[in-house]
Amino acid sequence: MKPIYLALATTTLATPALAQDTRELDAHVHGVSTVEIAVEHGAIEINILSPGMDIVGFEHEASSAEDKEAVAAAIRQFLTPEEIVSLPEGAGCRLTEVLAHLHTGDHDDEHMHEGDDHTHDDDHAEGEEHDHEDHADEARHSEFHVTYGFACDDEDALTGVGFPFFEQFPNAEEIEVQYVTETGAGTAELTPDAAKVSFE
Amino acid sequence: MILRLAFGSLLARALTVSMTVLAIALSVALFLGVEKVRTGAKASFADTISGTDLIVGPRSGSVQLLLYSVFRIGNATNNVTWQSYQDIANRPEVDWIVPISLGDSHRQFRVMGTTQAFFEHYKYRGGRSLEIGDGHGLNDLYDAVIGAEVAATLDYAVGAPIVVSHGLASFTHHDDQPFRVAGIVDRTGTPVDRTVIVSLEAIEAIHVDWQSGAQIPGQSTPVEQIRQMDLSPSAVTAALVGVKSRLQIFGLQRWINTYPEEPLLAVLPGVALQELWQIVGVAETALIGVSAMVVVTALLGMMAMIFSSLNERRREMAIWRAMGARPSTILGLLVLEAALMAALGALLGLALLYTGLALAQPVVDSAFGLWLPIAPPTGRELATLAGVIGAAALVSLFPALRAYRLSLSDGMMVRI
Repeated sequence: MKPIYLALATTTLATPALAQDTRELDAHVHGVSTVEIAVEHGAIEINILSPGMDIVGFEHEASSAEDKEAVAAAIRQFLTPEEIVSLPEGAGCRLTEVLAHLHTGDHDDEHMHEGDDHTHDDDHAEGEEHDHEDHADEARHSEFHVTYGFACDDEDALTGVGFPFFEQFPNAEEIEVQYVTETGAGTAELTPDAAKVSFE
Repeated sequence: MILRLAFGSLLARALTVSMTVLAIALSVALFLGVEKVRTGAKASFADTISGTDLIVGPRSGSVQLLLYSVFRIGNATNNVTWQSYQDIANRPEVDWIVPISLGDSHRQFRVMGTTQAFFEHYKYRGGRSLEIGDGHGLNDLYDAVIGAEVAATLDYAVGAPIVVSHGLASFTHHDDQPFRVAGIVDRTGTPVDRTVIVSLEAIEAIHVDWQSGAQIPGQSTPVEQIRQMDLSPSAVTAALVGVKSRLQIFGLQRWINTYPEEPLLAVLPGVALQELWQIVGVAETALIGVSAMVVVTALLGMMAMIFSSLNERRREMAIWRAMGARPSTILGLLVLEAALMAALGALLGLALLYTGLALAQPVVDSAFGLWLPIAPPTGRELATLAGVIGAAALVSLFPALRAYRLSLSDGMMVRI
């Protein structure tokens, strides 16, 4: 076989592989935040995913100083968990982990973080802003990702979570909660008027 | 004093009063019974699957995935490739994973291909495991374990031969490779009762000579040869996953839902069950509405009874008044009588309910797989009973007020 055929063969074979591009977008509803709550052995982890629209009122790239300040202020707010979530007094919960960042662009990169020392009482705080290169200009949304970890003395007293979140962000209209506890999993829809999820 | 009078008065009209009390008792028993069945059905429904953290399938809807993977209702839109399955199985968060392969049937029952681990990890009714009462699990390639209802309907015992049909309602059968009933699972009240369980390899084995959904004509690989073949599947329908720590469920779920190589969906069974129940729940509200109307009807019947009794008791009322009873005493007497009737009715209704439950519980459990717990009345039920008594007192106010106004003049006047 002449080298030219070989080269041709390589390109034709390689092209489909390169063309394999996944295009998908998560559903993104303004006004609706998603919250995931997991409880195990006295540890409770709360993940909040909020559209940028609900929190800072825009979803374009924060370019002006004003926009950047709004994003920074929102992240500062998220870094004070007692303004966002409220746990039952009797459970005796201490914050073990807090993580908040703005997620922009349409590609999900993984944010895995483990190895946080849960025995320490000092707050492990981290605030950062991820700005990805634009992958596609159309349908670009931004989302705040927040994670809280708490260690609680009395798991039985951990019967629900309240969300003062709504008071901080008047644009937020609804939270869709999914939770897993010892007794099972469930879902709930929270609104500013009913801002508390009870684990059944 | 007035209580004794009320009792005496009720006793004096024992027949009509007992009819009214019976009507109230029946309506109360019906209302609470519906409530029990409703909560029992909801709990049984939620108990269909427990101990599983995630159900993984092709991307569709969470309710649809739950319906076909757990309830065997409807069909899968796609399969999950074996490679993706392996990728999930190799995630560090995954404690165990059980594959499910559906698509074939035996008579009216679905055939499910899985592994022996299914019996270990599938839990129902708050952590109960499947028990194989007769026989054993899947040891041989052509072993089938059947649910209790399959065994009862088709009258199968351990050792009976089973021929699996291709597809769900077809005339093509895998009769070249018959199975043997190896075990019968005790009744669970879950869809497992209506399932024929075979091994994942067996599903591959019976399709060895098949191509694009049809048997290649004239080709039939001998069973001995099939046993030697590599029968690892190329795809499964869905998978049940258990994670090591509950805190990792959502992370794994997100990883699966954004798995770039294949559109997959992972759902929390509890959440999907709740979503499904929200759809079914409308019927639930209707049931409560109907039984509440029955209670209202019984109370209205009581009101009518009191109204008509006023006519009989005109003289009685007048004598009370003449002897110095104030109109308010008359009113109080009538309201008290009504409340007593309702209270008796409520008590009798409770008695009826618990007798009924005790009698029906085993029958309902074995026939419908619905477990009705016999528990002391809940706060909500007690509140309902109090509500019935209160409502009875309230409706009796209408005849009582009439008596209040008319008791003296009406009874004392001589009518011609």
